[in-house]
Amino acid sequence: MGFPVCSDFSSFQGFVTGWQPVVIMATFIVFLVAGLAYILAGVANHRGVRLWAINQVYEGIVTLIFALFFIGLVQWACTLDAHMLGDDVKCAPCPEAVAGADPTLACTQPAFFNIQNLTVANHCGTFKVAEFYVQDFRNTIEQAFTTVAVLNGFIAFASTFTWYTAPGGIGMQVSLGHGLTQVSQSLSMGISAIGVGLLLAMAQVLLVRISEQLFGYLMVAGLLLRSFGATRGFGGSLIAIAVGFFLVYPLAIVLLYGLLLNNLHNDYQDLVGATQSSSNAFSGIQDALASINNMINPVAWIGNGVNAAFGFIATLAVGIIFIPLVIFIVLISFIKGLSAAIGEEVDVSNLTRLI
Amino acid sequence: MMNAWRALLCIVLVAALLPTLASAADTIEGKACAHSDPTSPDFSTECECGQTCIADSASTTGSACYTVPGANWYDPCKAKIESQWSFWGPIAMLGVLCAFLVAAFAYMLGIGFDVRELRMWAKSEMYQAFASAVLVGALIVLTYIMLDEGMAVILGANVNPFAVAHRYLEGVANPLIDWYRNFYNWTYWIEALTTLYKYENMGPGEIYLLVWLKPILVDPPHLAMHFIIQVLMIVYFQESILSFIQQKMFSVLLPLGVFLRIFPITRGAGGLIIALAIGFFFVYPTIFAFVARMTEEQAAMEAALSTARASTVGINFEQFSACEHDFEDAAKTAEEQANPAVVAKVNQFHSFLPPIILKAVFYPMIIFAVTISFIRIAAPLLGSDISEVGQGLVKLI
Repeated sequence: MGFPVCSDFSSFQGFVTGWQPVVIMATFIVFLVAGLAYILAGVANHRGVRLWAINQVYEGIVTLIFALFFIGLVQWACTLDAHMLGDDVKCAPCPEAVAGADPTLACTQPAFFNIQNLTVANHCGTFKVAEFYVQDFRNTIEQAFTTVAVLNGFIAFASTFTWYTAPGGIGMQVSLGHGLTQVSQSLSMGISAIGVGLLLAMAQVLLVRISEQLFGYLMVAGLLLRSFGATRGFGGSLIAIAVGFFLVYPLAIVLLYGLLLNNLHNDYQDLVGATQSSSNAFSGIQDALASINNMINPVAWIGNGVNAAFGFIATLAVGIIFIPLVIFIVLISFIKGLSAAIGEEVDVSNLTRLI
Repeated sequence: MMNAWRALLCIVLVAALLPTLASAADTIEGKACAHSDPTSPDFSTECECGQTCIADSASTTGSACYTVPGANWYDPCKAKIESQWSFWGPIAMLGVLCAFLVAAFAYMLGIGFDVRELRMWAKSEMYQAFASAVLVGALIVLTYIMLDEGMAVILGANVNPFAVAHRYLEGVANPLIDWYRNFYNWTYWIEALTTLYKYENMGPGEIYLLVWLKPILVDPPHLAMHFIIQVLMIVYFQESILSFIQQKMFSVLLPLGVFLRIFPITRGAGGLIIALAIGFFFVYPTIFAFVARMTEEQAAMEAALSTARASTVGINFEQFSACEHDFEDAAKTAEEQANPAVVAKVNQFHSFLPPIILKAVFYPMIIFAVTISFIRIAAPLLGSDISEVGQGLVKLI
């Protein structure tokens, strides 16, 4: 379905080149109809039809400008360097990077705007960086999911520790570790929360990819529909949605997730540090004591393992609830403004019902 | 067999040592940071707004984030804004000039072709460009006014609302952690005892001897621990949001919002971003500070009035501050009308939860609602129409 506009620019160019004459043809048809209407209005001395014809010509010119400069605008947008949002923005790994080298360094471009070299700038382009960030977000969640699951596995295993004695065939049995089940259940809640976070992060990754892939179709359909008077509003709205998801959405992701990822990585390191203390190898009686202590000691657990797990979940929740909410309302606001300017204001009241 | 005995011995030894171990409290002071010039304080780093990156030999990077005593807490925030604006400011000024140019050109065309709508649009854009010029030219001054004459006057120059809010949330989280720990200590060995099982390798006599203790002494604490974890997640979530806002949001979003507000098609998004930055940086922590002070003062007043008052339900409500009278009265009424043994048992495990939920969920929800209301009102003033999105957000709350 579709093709990534910036990553596969030549396919996009081919697609647009195929559709561009259709849009231009449609615009000329509109000019023709408007011209005829103007002539008829002059003959019949009908002011309303004359104004309508003039308006159609103005709007047709605007659509023609969009259609002619469309590829250039997209190329400019694709080569927007994500460093415009700050020097600490990391570029996506480059496929052409030397093996063994830090993949993010090879494509770091010091230039503010890099319009000349599309191939290199592509990896520092907003879409690539946005995809890299949400993918990094997703990967960190996945690692945390595994860490907490393994941790919980240890706890659940320890909770089955059972002692029994039956001299002469009669005796008693007691599950000494059974008290750990509650800690295990608490961590299970944490795992569920991280699982939900992982699903939402996966959805973000897909949305970034889809928004890049759908852009070509939405934009061309929008331009075509905007050519005709009856569908001008809808066409304008489609263009606004396409541009919003193509320009504003990845920029907002780079900006806001860039701010969060450091915190998330730090929290994940805290989580790993806290869990390592309870999973050390049994190299001696002291380590064995420490390990068993960490497994069943509530003070150490609350202070370290469980606390670190829920600290991570809190930062994760900012990334899956708060930041998407901010991105969503900024995006909707932009789409509303742009659609009102070039066509018909998008009615977002239906979208807000989704909330 | 010997290994099993050794393992049992280890567990018993460790269990005996449990109370002597202590957890390390998290602190936001002393976090490692990158410092370009260790000889002078560095404001423009990854430290939280309100902290400064200064040289610290104990840190892994040689520098760490600390609150500098004596200085206003918001000085590093202002420095961050200045640092950001030194980059964005000239570009924004260029944008404003372009906006004037486009408006003037459109006005010329409007006169030339006698298009009234174009003339009107050009005039309107001219006004907007003036507004943007004021915002761009005076952003630093406006930030000073908001911080020095706004927050500092409302709360006091030395009161850092973020620190107050963090303390408030820690005041909610710490008792929860204590309770979780207490319940665990309480139930661990009882739970093990409930699994005590008479074993024989012949005949039908396999019986769990103490399983009847489970619904009375084990399940209620388990339920309480379940709630504690849920509330703890909510509290930690709020702490993360506060840190995110304090650390990054304001200094990045405000300049960006002012820049985007210049252009007609991004005016809505820009105005909204400015409203979000101001709402979450000024309104959210300020209201948090007010609520924190309100509950702290209430607790202090209660303590002064009745220093040795014992709770009738086995829980010291003064630990949780909020609306103590209401909860205690309600608990007393319930106690009088129900089976005393059952009520006593339920209270023993769950009566601490309502005041905690009030502080962890209800008050923050009101604070969030006030912030969203501010953003809804401020955004249209700054050129953004979020009435429908705002309605959706209110529904979300």
